Amino acid sequence: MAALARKATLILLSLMILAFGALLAACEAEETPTSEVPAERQELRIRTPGEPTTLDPQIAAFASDINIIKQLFRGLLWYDQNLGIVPAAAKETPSKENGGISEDGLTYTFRLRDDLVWSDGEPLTASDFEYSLKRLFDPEVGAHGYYYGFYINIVGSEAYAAGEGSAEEVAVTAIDDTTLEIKLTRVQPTLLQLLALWPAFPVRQDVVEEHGDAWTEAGNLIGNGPFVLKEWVHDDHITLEANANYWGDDKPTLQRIVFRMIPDESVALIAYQNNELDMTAIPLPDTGRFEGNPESLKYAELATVALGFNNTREPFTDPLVRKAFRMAVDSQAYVDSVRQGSGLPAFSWIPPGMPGYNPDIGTDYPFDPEGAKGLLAQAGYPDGEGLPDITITIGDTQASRLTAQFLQEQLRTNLGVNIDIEVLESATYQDRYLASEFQFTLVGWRADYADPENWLPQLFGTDAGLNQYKYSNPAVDDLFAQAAVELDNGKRLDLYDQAQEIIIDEDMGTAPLYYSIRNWLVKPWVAGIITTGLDSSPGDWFYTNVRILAH
Amino acid sequence: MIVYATRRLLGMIPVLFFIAVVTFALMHAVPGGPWDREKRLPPQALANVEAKYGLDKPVFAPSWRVWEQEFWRELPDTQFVNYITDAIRGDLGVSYRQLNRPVADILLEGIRISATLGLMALVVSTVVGMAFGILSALRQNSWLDYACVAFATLGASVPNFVLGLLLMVLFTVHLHWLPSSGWTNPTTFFFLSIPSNWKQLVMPLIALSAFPTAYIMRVVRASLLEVLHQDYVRTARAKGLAEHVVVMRHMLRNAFIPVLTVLGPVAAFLVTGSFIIEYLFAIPGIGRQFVYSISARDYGVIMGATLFYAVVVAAANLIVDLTYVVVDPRIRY
Repeated sequence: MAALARKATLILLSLMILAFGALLAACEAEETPTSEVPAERQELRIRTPGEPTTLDPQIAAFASDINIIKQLFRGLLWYDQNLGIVPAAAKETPSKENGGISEDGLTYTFRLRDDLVWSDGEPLTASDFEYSLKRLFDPEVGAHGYYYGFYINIVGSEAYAAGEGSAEEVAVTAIDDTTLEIKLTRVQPTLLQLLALWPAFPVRQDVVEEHGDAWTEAGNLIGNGPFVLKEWVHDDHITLEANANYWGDDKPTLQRIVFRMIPDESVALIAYQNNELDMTAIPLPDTGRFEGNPESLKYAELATVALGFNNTREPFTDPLVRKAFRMAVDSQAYVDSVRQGSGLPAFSWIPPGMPGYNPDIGTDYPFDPEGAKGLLAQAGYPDGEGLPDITITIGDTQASRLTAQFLQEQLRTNLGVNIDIEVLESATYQDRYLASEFQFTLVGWRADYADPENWLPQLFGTDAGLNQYKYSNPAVDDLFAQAAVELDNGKRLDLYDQAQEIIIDEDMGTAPLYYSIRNWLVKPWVAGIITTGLDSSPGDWFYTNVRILAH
Repeated sequence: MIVYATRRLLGMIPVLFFIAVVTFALMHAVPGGPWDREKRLPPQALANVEAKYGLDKPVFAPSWRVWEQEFWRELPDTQFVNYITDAIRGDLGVSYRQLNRPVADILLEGIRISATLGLMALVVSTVVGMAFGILSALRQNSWLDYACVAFATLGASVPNFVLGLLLMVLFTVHLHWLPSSGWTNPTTFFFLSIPSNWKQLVMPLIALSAFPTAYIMRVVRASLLEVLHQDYVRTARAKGLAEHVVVMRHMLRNAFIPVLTVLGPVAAFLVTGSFIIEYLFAIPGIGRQFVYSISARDYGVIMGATLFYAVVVAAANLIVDLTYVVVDPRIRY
């Protein structure tokens, strides 16, 4: 029997070696000749991790859902490739010069294109936008999530969301078929950016009312974007087709987009290698072996990952300790080892590519073990003596585990501080994190829109909704209040810059670790991808520009 | 026997109720709720959403004062009572993770797909496992026996996700014979799905069947070896019965009892879907829904799936108990 078991082990081993060999062989890039000639079949196949929670623009909150929603609907405004605002359903971007924004900055008037139609050919008018924007504050619909809060400066919206007002009192009004008026309670310099985002996309009242929650199913859903929902096989795939009635100037070349739901990233990679997918993200452990691959596509994402301190728990109440921790961690080594090169060492909180990015912020605290030890001694903990027990609390993901282990090692070697790692089931972690029940953790932020307003007040304002670090500084609060209503963009960015300088350089409220770089594989026959820092899969703001070459 | 079956079926009701109570209590007791997102909801939004789905009500019992006043007039307005009364009417609620689909639809679709795969795996593993189990017992210590035992050891010891990935590397990456994953046509059931889905079926079926096949094979082999030298087998041979009659009628019938015992749990295991296989091969089955629902605190799906599992396990055990009567003359109900 023992001999048999040995035999079996041998067979198993040889099988595994065979398989590994196969895997290695498969890594070599296939040479596929492509031409500039468009392919007969204009179909793009993309992986999405799973069943969307919803395709309802007023409810959606997850990046992979929003990716699909962006293809099905078009708002008043849209982004250009530099994340500037361009008109979409609106004829022009409102400004004070063209009379679209009132002198006091409180009334916005949108003049709509007169050729707007839904995907079923019915005309789309200003009242459709009125209905949809009000729906965003409906306590039964949109006021269920995080994003309606972006638009809460619209007159009457807050009361309606709280169940105290009514839809009629929300100051979004269709003056006539092609004129929409929005009134604000206070000036909001970023309103136009926000109106280009998915929560402000129009939905069809009769469709929503007829089908209820099932209105987003294929066959029911009617949109106004470049693509329509052709098929939704739950938990397997979603197929979009070009919208024959699309009114925009960016008519798509692609005839079909297929979103294959593949939960596992490694399986998606296998599907890509088997030509079942045209693009997929490279799983972190595989990053190294696709380095320099001609099919690899890297783009910087507007995202920062940082060490999260609970500013109200010992020893992180002391900025000197927070700074010492920052200086004891080698971001470059982190990017090279854990991220396998897909990232950039970070100093400032606001990443490059964002308006308001300042490369000087945080550079006073580079990786410097001696300096770190000095700061720790200055804080009253020479060589870490007297420090309370420190635990880093993380959710159970591979990336978080690797990162926590890296930090544990760095802090031990460079600062002489031992920290414990506490790994929690993801939902439990989320619960603890939201309640600020942690001492030390990992935090990250990905831009919803490219403005410091999205990066600072909600996260670092005293008692702000997403300030789980419990950071508080009255000077920063004051700067936020000024910036929120500053209409001069230069001054506004300057106010946020001052705030960021205090948060990082003076207080080190959170310690930036790296800026995220997305690493994808894209088949050579996919042409015309335009990436931006807001993409969840490359080019998803501009699939209308993508074409498939003959291959 | 009908009385016995009825009694067992009725006995399932308190068991299911007990499971419902425990599951409901546990899922509300664990930290985290369905609306814990990366970005914390504003308090107003949380209040709205909880009001919409009735999560603002007490979980089990209202306060004593309310209980005292109203209990005898009507059922208390609590989450559990509402869930049970709706469930009895056939309404399993809505999913918080798939907002456009009622829980009943999600479960039914998942069950159909998992059952399709599971029933096929059950057929494959029973047929293959029994066949090779019998062969290797009858030819004990031959090369065939060794090969079967080696296979059984492999099948039992290689985790199915490893086997699944190995198959994928071989058939998809290397040979390009089979698609990596997916379940493109989910509307068909059991063998009807073979024509449209066979390419997507092959690898998950092998990965899913490997363990039960090995298991059944070992049980068949072991129990056959045990009866091989029994007196009644010798008697049967001495009577001059043909070898196949000895094997089929005298040996197998007795050797089948332990096999039957394991078939119940194996069937339940296969039909309820394997999370790993469904996750790996992107198959939209109930096993995956179950695990996802737990991490998303999707209460409706957790409850529905748990109760479904309980029913399947209880039913499988009942069926096995009833089949004993057929194979074992000593058992009478």
